[in-house]
Amino acid sequence: MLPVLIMLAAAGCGASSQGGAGAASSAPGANPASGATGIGQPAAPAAAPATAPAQPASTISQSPAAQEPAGSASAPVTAWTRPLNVQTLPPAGIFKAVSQTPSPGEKVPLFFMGAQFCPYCAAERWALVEALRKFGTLSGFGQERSNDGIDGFKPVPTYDLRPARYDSLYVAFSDKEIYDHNSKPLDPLSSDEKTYVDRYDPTGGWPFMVINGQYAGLGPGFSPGLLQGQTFETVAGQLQRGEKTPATEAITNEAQIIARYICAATGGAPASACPA
Amino acid sequence: MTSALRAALSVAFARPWAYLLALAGGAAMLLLLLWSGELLKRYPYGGELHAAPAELAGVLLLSALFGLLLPLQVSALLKARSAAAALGGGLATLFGLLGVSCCAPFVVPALLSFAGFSGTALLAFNGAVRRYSGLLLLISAGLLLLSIVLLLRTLAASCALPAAVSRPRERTAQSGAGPSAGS
Repeated sequence: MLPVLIMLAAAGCGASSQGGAGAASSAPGANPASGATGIGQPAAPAAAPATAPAQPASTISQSPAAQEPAGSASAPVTAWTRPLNVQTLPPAGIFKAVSQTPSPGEKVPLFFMGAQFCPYCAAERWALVEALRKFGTLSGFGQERSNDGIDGFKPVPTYDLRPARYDSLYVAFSDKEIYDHNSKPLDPLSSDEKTYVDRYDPTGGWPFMVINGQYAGLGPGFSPGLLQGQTFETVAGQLQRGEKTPATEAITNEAQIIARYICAATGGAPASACPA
Repeated sequence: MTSALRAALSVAFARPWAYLLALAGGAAMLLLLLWSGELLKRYPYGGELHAAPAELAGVLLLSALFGLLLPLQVSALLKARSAAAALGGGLATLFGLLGVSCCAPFVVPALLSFAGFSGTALLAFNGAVRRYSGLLLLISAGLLLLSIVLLLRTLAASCALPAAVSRPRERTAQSGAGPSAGS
């Protein structure tokens, strides 16, 4: 009886998407990128207490690929029309197609919901940022760590996306951290984001991600254990240098899945981020 | 009192299936707690078990207590026709499931979702549960212990009753003046 109940509950209620994402093109409360230390530049100290947020590094991440037009490799794109009649991809990793209809809006909405204490969210943010870099410029973000000892994980380094700003021609990104390090409520959800949660996250779990109102994923695509105990600079440096470690491979694979769904939503733009 | 409880235990575990039931119940509870609490997770490259030592100890303790409770409960149902402690066991299971939840607990939120709670309502619920997870584990263990004690007392009482009733019969049979002899 119990499995039946669980399956019914997990199935959610609706299949169609409604309303534009609460996704703004940048997270609220953007901070100026003061004292910036970019990836690959001298690292800022990351040894913050596990139960308190690490100090922001206001790092800037940018992908030249996102500036390129589809089918071209030189001139920057200044205008792009979002296709709404797009193909729906099959499930991959934690993601599944939840609607055939994209959410309305000029850009592809991408909503991420996590919690600051959560090691699974910390892991998933790495893949999210790697995917977002292909489609725009993320700036003003900081460094963060999940709490020590949750589910036996040591602190997992990650991005603090709350003060970040994301500029993209293609993607409207919204990050909401619903609980802080002490499990106290943090970011309120917009009405559209609540709709996403009610429809596609019926058990109210996190990390939770919705891409284009069509694809939803609950949980991490890989284990936080691959990142636990490392510093932000170590992981970021390994990713930037293209080093192959279990952690970077897991992040890259998950980022590819996210990017593939975004590419399906953008109709394959930009070409450099969405190889045929 | 101790001998009565020991007798109740021996009654509950008089048959081999009681041990099997205890093992199966404990194992089922362990799996349920690990799965629902996300301590046991499946990734594309395989499964992983991750738990803080205290959390794992709590899960093992709850599973062991539940394994002990189950044969006692069955025995109480069969011998004493008493299901009084079943509520305690059920509540303890519920609190145990809530006590080992981190970020995407499954069983209880899924049941609540089925009962009509929305995802956003369960976000708040899961956050509150997360804040009190340690306390919930303690309550769960306490309820299981209480249920076990209550069941043992029930079983001890049910064992004592036939003996007390049979004694006058034995005496009357020996004297030859019992009701059966007279009829």
